[in-house]
Amino acid sequence: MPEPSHSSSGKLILLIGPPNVGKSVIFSEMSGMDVAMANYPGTTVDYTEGEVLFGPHRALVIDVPGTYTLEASNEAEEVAIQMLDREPDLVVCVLDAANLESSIYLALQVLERRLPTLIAVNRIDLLRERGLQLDTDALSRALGTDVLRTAAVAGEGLDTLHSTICSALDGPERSTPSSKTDVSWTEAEGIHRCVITRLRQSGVTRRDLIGDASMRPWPGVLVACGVLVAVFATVVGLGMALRRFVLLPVFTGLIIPQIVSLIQEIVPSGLLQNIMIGEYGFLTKGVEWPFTLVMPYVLSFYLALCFLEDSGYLPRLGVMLDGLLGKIGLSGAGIIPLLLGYGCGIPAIMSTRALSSHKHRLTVSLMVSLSIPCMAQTGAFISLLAARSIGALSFVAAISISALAITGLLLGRILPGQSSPTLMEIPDLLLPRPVVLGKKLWVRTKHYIKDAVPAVVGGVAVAAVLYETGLMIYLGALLRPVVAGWLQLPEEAAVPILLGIFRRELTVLPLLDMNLTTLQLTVGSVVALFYVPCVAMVAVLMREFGARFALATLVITTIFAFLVGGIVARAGLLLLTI
Amino acid sequence: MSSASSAVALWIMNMTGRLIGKIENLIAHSLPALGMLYGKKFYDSLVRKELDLARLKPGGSILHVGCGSLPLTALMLARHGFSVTAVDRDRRAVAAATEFVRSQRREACIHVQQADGETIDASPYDAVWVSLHVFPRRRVLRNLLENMRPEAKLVYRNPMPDGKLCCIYPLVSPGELGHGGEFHSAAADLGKQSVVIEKPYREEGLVVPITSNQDTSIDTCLEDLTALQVAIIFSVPDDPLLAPLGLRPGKRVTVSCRHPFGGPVVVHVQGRRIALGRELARKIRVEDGGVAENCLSHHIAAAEN
Repeated sequence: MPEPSHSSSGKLILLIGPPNVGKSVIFSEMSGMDVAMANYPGTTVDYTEGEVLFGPHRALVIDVPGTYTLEASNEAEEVAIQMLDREPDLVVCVLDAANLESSIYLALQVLERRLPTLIAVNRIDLLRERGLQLDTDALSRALGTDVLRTAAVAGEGLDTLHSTICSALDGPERSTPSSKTDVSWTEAEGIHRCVITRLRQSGVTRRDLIGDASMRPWPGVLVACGVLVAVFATVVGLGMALRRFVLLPVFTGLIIPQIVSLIQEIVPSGLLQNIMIGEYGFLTKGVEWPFTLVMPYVLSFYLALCFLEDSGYLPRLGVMLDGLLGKIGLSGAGIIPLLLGYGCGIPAIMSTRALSSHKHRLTVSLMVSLSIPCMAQTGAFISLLAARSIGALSFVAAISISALAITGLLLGRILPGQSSPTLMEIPDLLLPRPVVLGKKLWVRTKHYIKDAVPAVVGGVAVAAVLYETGLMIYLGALLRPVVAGWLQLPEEAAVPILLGIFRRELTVLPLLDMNLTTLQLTVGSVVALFYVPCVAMVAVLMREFGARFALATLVITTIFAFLVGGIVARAGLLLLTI
Repeated sequence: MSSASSAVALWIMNMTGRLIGKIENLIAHSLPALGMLYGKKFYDSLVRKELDLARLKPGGSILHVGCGSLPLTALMLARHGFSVTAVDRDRRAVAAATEFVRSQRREACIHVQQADGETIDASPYDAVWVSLHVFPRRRVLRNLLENMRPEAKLVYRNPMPDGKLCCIYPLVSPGELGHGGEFHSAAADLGKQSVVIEKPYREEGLVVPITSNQDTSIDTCLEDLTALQVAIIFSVPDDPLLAPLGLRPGKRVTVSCRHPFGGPVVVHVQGRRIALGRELARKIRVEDGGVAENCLSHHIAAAEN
């Protein structure tokens, strides 16, 4: 996506505000289905944007990543400043009613730029809950611009916001700030004191109790276990249900047979037809695999992740793990790339930029490349092993987690460097709105279909060509000592090993049709787990850390994969014969 | 606490005390090396922290009330160059402790004797240490504070307010002992905290808090605060994220909880919860501001700050 600019015929509106204030809720209310996630070039900062109609004006609304201040101390802030430098037609500054003082400081910094600005004070419901009241007119006078109240989660005040934006776009001079206030904390504190009054004593709400309890070591640990179990159950359970009841019947029952009969009519029997719909047909397997085997788990995983993100629970998890992760040289914030890695390694590697120490970045990236299966691969594992033996699946999961811990520990010792201190706000817990979740899920799904499916189809096409032309047998013979001898797998297992370079799930899925024993499946899974990251991920590694690190990763993962796979094969055989 | 639950708590305390006493007895007599190992691991850092807070001149004399059969605190103090008189009410504990001290060849520095904390005369000592399990702690502490020398230090251990030990051992705040002046406290692991009071110099019955002692700095750092302690920030390091999160000089913070394994400290400031790594917390200097009743009510009250 190119750098954000004024849309072809319309205006540019920026939504700026601190993190955790509910900007994305306001954004999703304003925008329709036409939203997309974009990446600010040269950074790992992602933002969402969408086209919205405000009366007669067509505007590109950008949900700028949350920033506490505009002091350019981290990438998100730099991006926000650069976006402001583009002279948008309107800036909607979203403030946090519950933490007004810090938001006022940010507002002062934004107003300094003398752009047409509108202030929306969000989370006004929380303010009321605490028995406080905001004098909007006084704030408006103090800041020199229009101030609105909203409670986006409850849908309050959004219509007024919409109409105010319309009139602001009609006459931007009206919204340009009039008074000149200097930017300082004393100023912010002063304004805050004038505009907030206490109406009544507030009691302790249930939200506070739960919010506190989930954050303390006890019973936080229980909550964390419960949450992790629930996440696991959702991902596996919901995924399986989606597959069995929705995706499988639709694709293998309806769509694929249609494709097959169509091809059979158009294309004459032979090499070409076989490449399309034969053993490795890229129109049969290439469609079946991404949509029925992988997509259900992609959907269920991102549902769980978005829920965790929006509910405000992730930082609590980070805080609880911070002590333990600290022992292997990571900080609690390191949990986020690790979790993202279970979705896809690429955003995970990118998000390591938020970790301030280079050593952390390298450690986490290697952990993700080596031992964290992306959702596509996990989905494939579940499809492969769960039906056969839950024990095998658990075993692979256990190996994965141990490898994670060991890698982390080792790298923590070996790599030089310091870790940076933890400093994060733990937001209030809230129940995410289904609409917002739905939109986020939709964005991620679109992304998956656009990115993953063509890559899988391409990879399978390559496999089909290899198979049909007989090259596969030749390659299989070449790799026989490793594949058949060391790993005790049939020769054709060489195929997934070659395909795995394109997409990780392709190391697993072909094993499905090979009539393997449970032990062989386990061995295949273990190799697939540790084996090289996909081509796209290697490209990202090269870009972030240099060719040397990328090469090192390739070497380490390959050796590790075959070593452990072989050990499991031998040990397994030994155990079975006992 | 209702009378029923306090009776139960007392009983639990009694039983636990007896059980621990028996185990310590056993170790003191037959496995002194194990005792020293335990001591080095758990008591070394605790005593070091307490000595840091107390700022004693080396070579002084210390009274340790409630040493038990395994006088580990006394031993740690002796290793730092102090001469210690360790006392306990229980005769058998005294015998075991004497045996233990002898096995560690510290009879020259540590003198064990039987005495009762409620009646003992603490005036000859430069400092008094009181263990967590001493019972009845408030009376003992009042007695000691009463007859201690002026400017001598009293170091006593409390359970952490939000920890499990709170059900068994009562939490005694310096205010309850009639001490209105400043005090220092530090959290230690294993759910304990240490409180250090300096006995004020009395002049004609007037209790004058120490402001003349230039060495005593009244500030401590955020890391050393214990749960529910309130403090006022007076200096922060140069991290751009601290100010917008509310951690600015002059702001009140309440410590919410501390995470084990060297995990972060979570504080409430201006109605927000902020998690800080230990190294960062160490760099934030604060002044003592009392104790909050419970974290949540303060969270709300702070919102109006």
